[in-house]
Amino acid sequence: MEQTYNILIDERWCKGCKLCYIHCPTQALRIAERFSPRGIHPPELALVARCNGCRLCELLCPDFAITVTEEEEVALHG
Amino acid sequence: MSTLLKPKTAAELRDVYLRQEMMPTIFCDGCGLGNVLNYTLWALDELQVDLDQVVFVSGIGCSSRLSGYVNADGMHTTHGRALSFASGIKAANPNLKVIVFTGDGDGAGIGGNHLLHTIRRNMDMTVILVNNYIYGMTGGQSAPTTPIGGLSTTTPYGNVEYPMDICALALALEAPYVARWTVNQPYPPIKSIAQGIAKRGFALIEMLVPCPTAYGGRNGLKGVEAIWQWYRENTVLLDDFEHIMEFGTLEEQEEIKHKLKVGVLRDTERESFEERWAKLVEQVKL
Ligand code: SF4
Ligand code: SF4
Ligand code: SF4
Repeated sequence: MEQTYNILIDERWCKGCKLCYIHCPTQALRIAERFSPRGIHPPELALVARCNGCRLCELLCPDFAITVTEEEEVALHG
Repeated sequence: MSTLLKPKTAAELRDVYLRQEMMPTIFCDGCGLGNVLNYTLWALDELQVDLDQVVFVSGIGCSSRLSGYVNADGMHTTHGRALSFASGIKAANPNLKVIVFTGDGDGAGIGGNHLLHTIRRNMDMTVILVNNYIYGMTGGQSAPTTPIGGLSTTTPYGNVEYPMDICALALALEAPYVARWTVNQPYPPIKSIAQGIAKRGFALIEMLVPCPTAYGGRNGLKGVEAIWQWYRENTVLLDDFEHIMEFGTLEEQEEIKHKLKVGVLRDTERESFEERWAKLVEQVKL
């Protein structure tokens, strides 16, 4: 069993400044190619397995736009 | 509204403390001002302060917009005069916690004289002075903090004036709590702002904040990443500085000599204006 995390972006408030992406210590985030309704490229969690739930992205976001959530524990195969 | 709730995530924090209709902030991409707001709210949450007992006061400028985002009573006052309004609030109702958001231009330039005398009186308040080396909102004019050689709209060939060290001023005037931080790391400033709010007497927290728009771009730090990196490279924790200066090699000492020291520069006790005033009132009572 391994704890996994998800990040929720509030697309009303995210400005696409990339501070979360730049500072993520495990490089788990990427900048999406799609546009948000505000017309910017929002970040997204690219590598779920890498995210260690440190919440640095959540604390560093100047616009309160990221929340890190704990996912239901899932059994990993192999 | 009673807010003695313990939020755990940014989403919960913003529901409790922010005026939703004011969001998102007006700040540019990569501006560190939102971080200052964020860290202040986490600090308030850590202390479990009732928002009804807090007043936010600010002057004019990008940083002075911060008070407007918090769902508490506040005053957005005139340029440089935040501390005078704040002193009045505190003198009228000493039970309130007064938190001031100001900038280097607003607080140390235009309001420099008020800063000096509010520290001297040791008014019980927390002043979060955001230093971004420039007057951002009014068009990128040089501030009393602009480094020598710094380019701004009023110093197009480079600034020749010596910059002012705001923390050194506060230390000289014996403020009981003085700290300086960057916004690059969240936890140390959150803890420090909480200490400042809990402190009786004047607490000055200078936050070094990247301004990519009015300062960075003109000064060879184009883009969000470059200017944030500059703060990482040009600051050193006070504890590390002292350790290296005592035990480090000459090269190590050479490398950190020019860097800005961040950390808690003073944390002591000193009777505040309010305490001295209350004593005087007691003494002269008929
Ligand atoms: S730090 Fe916040 S505003 Fe900036 S890109 Fe990330 S989620 Fe968006
Ligand atoms: S929680 Fe930590 S590891 Fe996960 S995306 Fe955010 S910064 Fe990266
Ligand atoms: S001008 Fe500078 S200080 Fe003002 S919001 Fe933009 S980046 Fe921030």
